[in-house]
Amino acid sequence: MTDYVIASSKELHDVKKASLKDLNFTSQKNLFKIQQHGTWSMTLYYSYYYNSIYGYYYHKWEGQTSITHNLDFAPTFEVWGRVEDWGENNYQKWTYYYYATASGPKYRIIESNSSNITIKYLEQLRENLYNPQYGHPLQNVTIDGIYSIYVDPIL
Amino acid sequence: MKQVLRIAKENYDAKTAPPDKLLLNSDQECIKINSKIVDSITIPNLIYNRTDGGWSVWSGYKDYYHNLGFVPVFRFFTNQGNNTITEAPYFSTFPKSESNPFNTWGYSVYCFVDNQKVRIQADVIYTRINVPQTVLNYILFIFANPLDILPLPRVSSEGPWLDVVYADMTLGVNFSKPSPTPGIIKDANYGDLSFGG
Repeated sequence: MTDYVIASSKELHDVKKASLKDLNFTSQKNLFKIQQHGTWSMTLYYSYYYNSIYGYYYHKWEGQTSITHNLDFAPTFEVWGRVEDWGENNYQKWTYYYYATASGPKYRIIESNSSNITIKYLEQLRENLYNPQYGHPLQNVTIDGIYSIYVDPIL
Repeated sequence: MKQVLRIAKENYDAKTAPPDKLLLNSDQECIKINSKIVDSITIPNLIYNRTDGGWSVWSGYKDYYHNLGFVPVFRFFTNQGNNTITEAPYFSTFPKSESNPFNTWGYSVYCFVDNQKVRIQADVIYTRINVPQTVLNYILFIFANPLDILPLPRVSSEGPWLDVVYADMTLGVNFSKPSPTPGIIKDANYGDLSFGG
């Protein structure tokens, strides 16, 4: 049986001879297909507390939001975000980090599972008399962002 | 005559729809998935044996040869169990206990890529505590698209003493790399070209 292929090459390349990098697309290679994309936002709730483990006072901003996809499998995804109140006026690709240091425990967690994408954010700053909160407003702040979820399973 | 394949989104005419209303356009390069690797790297049981209380480190890696002949675009995810996926880089520290949070360990896992391989590397740091054997599961996508290294930017906008034209080099009083003394070219050497001031 003949294998049929749909392919398109870049300008000046012969589609029948072109290497992969010189093809605009080929049906022999999968492409990420967008299931859904859009915007998200969440509120970071501000609090101030004493951490008896570390022995310091902390300013804390914490929030969580979810994007439902109902795909029944963990999909490939991309998430971008910004915290405009903190001077971040451009969207940055958000990937995972988790720091449990005494100077300011923090995390940014973006998880994909079979029903949704969950975004969790925690920022903590240790009380410092000379630079108490690095310009962060001592109040609730809003994060906003954009996302893409692909119909392609990650596993 | 040039042949074009276009598939438009619903309610759009493929002949007239702008690029963002097309599902597929043979004139535009797509990000093509060349390979998908589901694998893991194991952090061994590490025994802390320093007496000064400082940090110990461990590194391990795995290489995947892609045979593409160019530096490819890639994406890298970690699987934290129960099919919960995060996009790497991934870093975490774990206080041993709430009563002694300064005995701790953590790791980062990340990618290097060149024109032959993708390397997944895990770096561990730990202090005053042993590290249990830990399996880090990950998913790596390698795309059949070059991650082009961009040429040096043209910098003439930065001042009248900067004017470098790549491929079509124009020489003159404005020809220079960034000068330590803007406005005055004292000495510049470029390959077999030299200028004296």
